Amino acid sequence: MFEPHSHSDAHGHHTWNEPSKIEARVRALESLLVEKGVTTHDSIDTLVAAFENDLGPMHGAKVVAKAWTDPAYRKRLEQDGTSAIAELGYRGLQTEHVKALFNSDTDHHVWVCTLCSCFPWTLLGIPPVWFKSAPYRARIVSHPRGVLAEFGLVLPDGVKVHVWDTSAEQRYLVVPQRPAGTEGMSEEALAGLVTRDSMIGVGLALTPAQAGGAS
Amino acid sequence: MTTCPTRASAIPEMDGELAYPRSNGEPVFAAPWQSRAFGMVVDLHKAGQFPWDEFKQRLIAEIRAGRPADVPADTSEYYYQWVEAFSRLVVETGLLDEGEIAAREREFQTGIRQEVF
Repeated sequence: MFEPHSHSDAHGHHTWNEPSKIEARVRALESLLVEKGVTTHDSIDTLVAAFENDLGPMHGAKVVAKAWTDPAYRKRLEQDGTSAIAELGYRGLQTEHVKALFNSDTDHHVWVCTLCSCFPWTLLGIPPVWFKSAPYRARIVSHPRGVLAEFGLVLPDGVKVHVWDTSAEQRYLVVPQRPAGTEGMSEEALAGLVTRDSMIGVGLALTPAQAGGAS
Repeated sequence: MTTCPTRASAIPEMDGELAYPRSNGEPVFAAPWQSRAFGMVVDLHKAGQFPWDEFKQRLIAEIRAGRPADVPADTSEYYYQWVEAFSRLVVETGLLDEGEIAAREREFQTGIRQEVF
């Protein structure tokens, strides 16, 4: 339904394509809100751009990398995720209450929003399409290992899988295990190994080799 | 708190600082109307027009109500619900009048009005 409407009831305008009902609704809302001075086009533009450029998984990755390299920070993150994350300047919309979940050799954490699509935007950016899909939301709870395997993450039988359901009040951030062979790496370089998926729990942090090549 | 956005570009590719694995780079907003709808809600919230919870509760209600028959069963479903929740919010908080939304919507649909600006 997003393809240009090319049917012939376009009234003969050269460039005008009849918008779908939802497109017309959104345009109506925007034009009315701007007319009434409630918002401006620029403001909306800026905001959308900010979500594209300023928010994103690199922030969550910095939290993880710091937890890998700074034991005192890791401890604070364990005890009070929200405060420890705020130390790095990340707070606000959608990131008010964050609990860090630490993966280990024995436990693997993954989170989902079964109700809608709660997502810590500030830390992880805009949620991916699959996160919002009904199949992911339902199946990660009922068949977590199967779903993880579909993401290419096959966990050994000995690893216990914990599935966490976010709510309006509680958000999660998975701290993946630090990959082997990264002992000498800087915090900044380590952050480059931390993917969005690994912080949701559907992937692992990249190895240096994976990060260096096309993984 | 809740919810999520829309966008037609890939999820932000952060300057190569993160090498995204597969499944990154997929469109998060499947069409411009989705990113505009997303932007409006967050913008108005940030401007203090309504507490986030006011929007969130309406979105939850829309999602619980399920997909209307005329909405395609694809990833855009979520943003239909988003727009519906936002439409209710602006009417119920008195920002806009239901009739004027409908009238303006018709103007766009018929081409009487073609530019949002």
